[in-house]
Amino acid sequence: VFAGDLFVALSETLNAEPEAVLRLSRLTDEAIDLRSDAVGTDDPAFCGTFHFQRHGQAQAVWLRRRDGDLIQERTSAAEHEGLRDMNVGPHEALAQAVVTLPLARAFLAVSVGFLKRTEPASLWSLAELRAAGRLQGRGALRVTSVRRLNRFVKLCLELDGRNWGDMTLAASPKGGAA
Amino acid sequence: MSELIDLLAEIARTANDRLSGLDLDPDRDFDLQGLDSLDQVQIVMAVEQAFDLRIEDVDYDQCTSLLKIAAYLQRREGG
Repeated sequence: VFAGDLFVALSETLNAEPEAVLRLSRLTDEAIDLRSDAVGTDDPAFCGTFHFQRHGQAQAVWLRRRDGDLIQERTSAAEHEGLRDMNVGPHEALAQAVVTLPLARAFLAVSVGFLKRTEPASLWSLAELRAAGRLQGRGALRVTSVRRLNRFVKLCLELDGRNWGDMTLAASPKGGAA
Repeated sequence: MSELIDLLAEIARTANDRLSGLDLDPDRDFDLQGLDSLDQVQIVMAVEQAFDLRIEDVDYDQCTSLLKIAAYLQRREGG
């Protein structure tokens, strides 16, 4: 769940406020540079964008991977640490997020857990995460599948019964690139 | 047809932040305008929502430009 870590790191580093949108065009284990000037999608190092609000102003950064600068160590928690009472059904997943886990990461863990159950033959990677609700805290999470189209699944994210945002994950076959 | 394409262009601009500032060429395929597969999915989902319909995967593969989406919608309406 690298993408969840990335969302949290970007939010904290940039003092982001909702609405915050992380969009990834490719996954990488490499360090990422943040650029405030637009990077073309034809740049081979381009790997995504992060749009957010700060003091009421819309901001954006472009993400470029540092070629060959692999991150050797991660300090984040295990995938389901910080979640309890996780319950995965055919159309939705429920869980309680406790304070040890940032909400974006908690939602990603529940979403991937849900999709692993409903489509076990696929690997899942984050394409886009849009957080309209608060980025910190705890509460009851609900993840519902909204639409499957092509290789993408769009999920609705609710916190304590209110819309928190949405997430789009991309499927790739197990054994292929994730 | 041109009114429908204008409407689709407006809908496409609402599909995500990146598209909001783009002036899409209706005749050119999305991938030739720097859009990726997620952009295309988000445009098609936005069209589905705006027209209250569902575009199946087999038809989605044809929806690679605004003009082709417009042609698909017209065929669907006519059929």
